[in-house]
Amino acid sequence: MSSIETSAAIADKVAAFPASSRDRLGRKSVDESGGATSANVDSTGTEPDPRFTLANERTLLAWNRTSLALIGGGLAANQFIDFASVAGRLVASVTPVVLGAVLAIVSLRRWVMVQRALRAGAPLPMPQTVIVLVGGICVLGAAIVLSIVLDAIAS
Amino acid sequence: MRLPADDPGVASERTALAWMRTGLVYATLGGLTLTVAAHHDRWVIGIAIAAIFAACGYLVGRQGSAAYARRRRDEWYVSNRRAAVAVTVATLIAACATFGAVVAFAA
Repeated sequence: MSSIETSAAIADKVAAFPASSRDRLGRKSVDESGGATSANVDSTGTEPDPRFTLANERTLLAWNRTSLALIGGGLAANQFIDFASVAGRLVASVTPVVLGAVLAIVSLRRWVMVQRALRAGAPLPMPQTVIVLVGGICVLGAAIVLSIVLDAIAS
Repeated sequence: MRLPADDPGVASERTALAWMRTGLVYATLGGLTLTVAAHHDRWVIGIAIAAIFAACGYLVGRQGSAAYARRRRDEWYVSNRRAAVAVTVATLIAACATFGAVVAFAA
């Protein structure tokens, strides 16, 4: 079974609605739902293909799981890695927890931006979450190396 | 917005599974925290944090199954800002709880 509508099927559906309720791509506006209410991200533009909306939702959840993995990693580092000092232990464990929290906020912001872009039919924005994740991991690595070096010097 | 007539609707099912997976991650994190707390013989703080994680996991998993059932029933698929904000807040609560546990157990 094909998951993509044929051009003829789309044209039939578009013709069934008045011109004021569809955009230039033939997508229906949200106001023709017949009473279904929703907490939409934005009232501007048109509701995109539901498969794009669902994919965006899954991406948000995937980023949240990444955040939770970082948070769990921080807890695990705190418990299962031997550090010479309490400061080194805290650096290695608190940094991923904070990074996880920041990533969760950034991923929500990206979800909103992508949903608005989908509604407007605009290109998707740059993935800031990846930049935050890579930057955060670099900072974490540098902090751990620094704490190890400082512990070695102190001992 | 409705799915195209010939769409089998598996995207919605995948999304529901993603919600439930996320809920399971919260529960797993709660179990990890409880294990660590038991290791330090700090049962009260461990149970409290694990209960927070369990509540977050339950609510997130429930949101997934409820949204799936609602979408199947109404055949209406739109973005849900409240759910997105809720899962982010749950992750922030998890981060705060873990931060507290890390500081408490490191001392």
